[in-house]
Amino acid sequence: MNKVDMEGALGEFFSECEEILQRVTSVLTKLESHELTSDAIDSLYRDVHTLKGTSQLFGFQRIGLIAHAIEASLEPVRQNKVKLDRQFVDLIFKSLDLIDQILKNPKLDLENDPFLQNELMHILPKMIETSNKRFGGEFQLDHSLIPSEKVSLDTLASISHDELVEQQTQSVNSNTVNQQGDRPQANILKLKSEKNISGEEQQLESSTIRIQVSLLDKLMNLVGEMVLARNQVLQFARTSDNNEFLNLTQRLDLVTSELQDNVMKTRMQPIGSVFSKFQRVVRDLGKELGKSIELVIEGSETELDKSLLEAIKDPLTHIVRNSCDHGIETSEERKKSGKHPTGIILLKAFHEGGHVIIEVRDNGRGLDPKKIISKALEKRIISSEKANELSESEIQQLIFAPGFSTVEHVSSVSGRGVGMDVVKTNVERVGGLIDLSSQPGLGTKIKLIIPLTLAIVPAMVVRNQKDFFAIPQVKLQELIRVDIEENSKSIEKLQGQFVFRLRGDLLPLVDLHDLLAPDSNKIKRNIFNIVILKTESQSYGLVVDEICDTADIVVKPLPQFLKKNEILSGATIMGDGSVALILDTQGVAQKSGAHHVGASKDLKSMIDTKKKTILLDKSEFLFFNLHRPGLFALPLVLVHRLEEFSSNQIEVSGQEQMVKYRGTLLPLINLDRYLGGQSEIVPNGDNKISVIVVSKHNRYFGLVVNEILDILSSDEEIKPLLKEARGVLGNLINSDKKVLTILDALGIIDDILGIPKNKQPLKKLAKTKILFAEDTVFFARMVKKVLEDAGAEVDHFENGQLALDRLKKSDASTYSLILSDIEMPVLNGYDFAKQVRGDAKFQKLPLIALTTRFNKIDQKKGLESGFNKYLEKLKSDELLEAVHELIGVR
Amino acid sequence: MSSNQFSTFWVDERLYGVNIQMVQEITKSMNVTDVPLAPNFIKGLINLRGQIATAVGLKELFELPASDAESGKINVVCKSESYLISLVVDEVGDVLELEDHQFEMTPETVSPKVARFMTGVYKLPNNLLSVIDIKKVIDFLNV
Repeated sequence: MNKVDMEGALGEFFSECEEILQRVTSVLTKLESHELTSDAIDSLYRDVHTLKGTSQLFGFQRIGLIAHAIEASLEPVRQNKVKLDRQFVDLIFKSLDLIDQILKNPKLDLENDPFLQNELMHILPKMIETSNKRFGGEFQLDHSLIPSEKVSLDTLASISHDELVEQQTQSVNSNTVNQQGDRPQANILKLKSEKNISGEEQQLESSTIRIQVSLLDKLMNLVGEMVLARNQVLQFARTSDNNEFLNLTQRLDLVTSELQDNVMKTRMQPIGSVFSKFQRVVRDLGKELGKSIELVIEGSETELDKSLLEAIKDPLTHIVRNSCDHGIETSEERKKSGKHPTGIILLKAFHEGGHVIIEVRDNGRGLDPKKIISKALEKRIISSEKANELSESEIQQLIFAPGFSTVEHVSSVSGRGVGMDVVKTNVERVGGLIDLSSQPGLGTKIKLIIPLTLAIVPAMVVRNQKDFFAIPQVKLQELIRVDIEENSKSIEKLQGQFVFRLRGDLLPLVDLHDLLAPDSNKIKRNIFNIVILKTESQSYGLVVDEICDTADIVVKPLPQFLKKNEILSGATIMGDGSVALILDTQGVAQKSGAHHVGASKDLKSMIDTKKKTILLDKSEFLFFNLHRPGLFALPLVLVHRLEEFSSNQIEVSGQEQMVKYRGTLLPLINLDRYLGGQSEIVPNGDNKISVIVVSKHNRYFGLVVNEILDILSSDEEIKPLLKEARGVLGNLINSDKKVLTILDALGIIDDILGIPKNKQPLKKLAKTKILFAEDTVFFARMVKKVLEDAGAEVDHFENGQLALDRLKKSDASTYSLILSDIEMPVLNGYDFAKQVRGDAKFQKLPLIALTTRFNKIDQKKGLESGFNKYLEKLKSDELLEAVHELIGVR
Repeated sequence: MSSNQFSTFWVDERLYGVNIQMVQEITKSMNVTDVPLAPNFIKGLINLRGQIATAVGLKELFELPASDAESGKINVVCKSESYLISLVVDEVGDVLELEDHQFEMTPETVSPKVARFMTGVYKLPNNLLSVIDIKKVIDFLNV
């Protein structure tokens, strides 16, 4: 290995060791709250093993030894002979600390470090001793590395890797372990200088170098300034036609970008590196305080500038310690107040509007306002008159006052001479904010809002009148320019708001000009420059005067009072030295009410998500009204999408009305006309029609309704009408006690397509037992009802697997027939059928597939899987006919 | 507290002062970027060699009637905690060193629109100096 390779490898070794330590720590911490699975122990074992191997490879024998001891002591745990307990885990933790220390300082002078000497001397022998005691001699240590099951301190002390091999074969007097306390330390521990390790260190020193954070800060600021200067040069270069100069600026541009990227890289670190340390902190504290506390970490991948990370480390530690000490109650107290005995602290980090938000939440006792006030009075932080005037949140803020501390006694845990005032100061020093909210008895939430002041972000610059605004590019989806004169229909008005039709979806538009100057006259635009932005919940289009350019901007925070309008997230300095504001895309959406315009969109996305999560305990219906009295509904499972069309899009072909939809024609079914009402499609005030798209026979059909209202979940049964009515399945009563008429959408489509209904009366299905697999509650109920009405007995299961399990327990003659859905969780219809057919007992059992996936290919696949029939859902007549036919055949 | 130095300035022909320790610098009028939807006393943002300061028009802040006289030409940039506030004033006066005995609390009769930003008044031989407390201004902005 040449030097460079070696350096790289060493660097990797160090980071790997760190990762391993973190992983091991987190696995061990889990032990407190959960039983460790064998997988977890295996991974623990593997990690320690890797640690042992690699550290020996790189000549870090001491680490290797410790790791070996851990590994050896874990072996019986792995073989399930011994359980890891607290004491044992403590020991492992201590050894990990030791490894950590050696890693951090490989040159560590052991002879002059009594603490480390002590640690090394105590832990290693103790670990092995413990494991031996536990295994009652049954377990023998691996002799290839460690001299005997009882390691002597002398051995340890004198081991250097040159001699290691020799030493390994020696057997050592076990008494030394017990005698260690009596002996003078210096005599026992004479670690020889480890020549190889110092050799590695020299290489290490050349590959990594410690740099003051302040220097990095300076570098960062300079790069920021340089980026600005570069921007200015680029702007100037645009006016020049000197080729040489242009070439130079191009190079400058490239080099600067690269420099910026790399400087950024030197500083960004995932917050997890700080978070993971808290696992240990919380665990140790919980133990010390005799409390049961679990730490939950979210968003540890959130990246944060190194210096910010450093800056928040201490405040965060203090907050977490506070939560453990004051927030979480003891298990007994928690039980008394009806809480789970284990308290939870949630550490969560995420990016939001140019900030990194870090939340520390606990479900402890919360802040006691009375206690705070009496303390504040005692410490003369407030006067007694003032105390009466304070609001609850003002009282809570008092804990940030200098000199305030609610603990009666300064404990070793959180009373370390710093209070929340120091935390606040530290957070504010980096331009952050700290926010606290607490509910007595329920817990406390502390929120740190850390700005990304140091970050340079790529942004899109847009113009409104004479002002320029920057939009962070992460929020940007696409840019669109619409010329009204070319395409007058593309920008439409919906309830007075502009919308744009983007590939079939309605995109609410927000005019930046109207937003910024709501009182001025609206501008009439012929050309719409639309910046499509995404927010958490949706997308919208921002209409601007001009889309200028992209630029790398240095985000500068705005003073709090300028953020009140909520549409600005910061400011930046442009290439020409002027200040530009950064738009907060989420705030703009809220301010403009774009999220209201998008309401129907919400319902749409709701349908998309609903379709994914089929609720097992309830049926859901989309309800709407028509141009006739009453409310109407469709089972949600039938709804493909909700659409809105402009009335001038309707085209007429023969008797039929249709619109162009996704490259094909969507036939429109006027529900009003079908139900015997108005024969014309009546658009709403904006000349729009609302359409529910339903798919059937692999085609889409648009059901025209007046207004789509909402989704209703109901576990009520659909009540049939007294007299059968055309296109109606039955009635349902919603939560407002209003009657919903459930329409038979598929039946209506069939009727319109002229597919005749089978009116032939069928015999009763007496003594027929049917096994039925279907995951959708609505269909399950409908089918069950149809079959039961026909006299059959139905056993319904929610997926193929459950049905199969039941079937396997039954005789060949228990069931007369099996009905199955195709798309089901756990075991789908095709596989279910194959398994049924795979059992000789059931080879002849009639098997019917009921599905909405009704096309030739699926049908073929179904028949190949062993289904006798492949039927479409909600066609009770066909179903009954098929059931009769198949049972009759048998 | 024996003496205090004040940076003085004129707004609408009245004399005001700010503790000189709060003043970072005084500049001529600069390129200002409007802040949309902000109250009228927020004149905008200015670029102060890479730092962004908020320009606050004192005339608007004190709700003084608009006048034709040339106004708002000078920026008195003050720093308080993390805030960089530029007071937009008409004219800059001298730096005055004032004694405690010249000080008096703000008289009750002073319009509350101005009094809420004042710590008190210094009696000069031929004039009165209203002392503006930047912290009070910032508190007001933050409410």
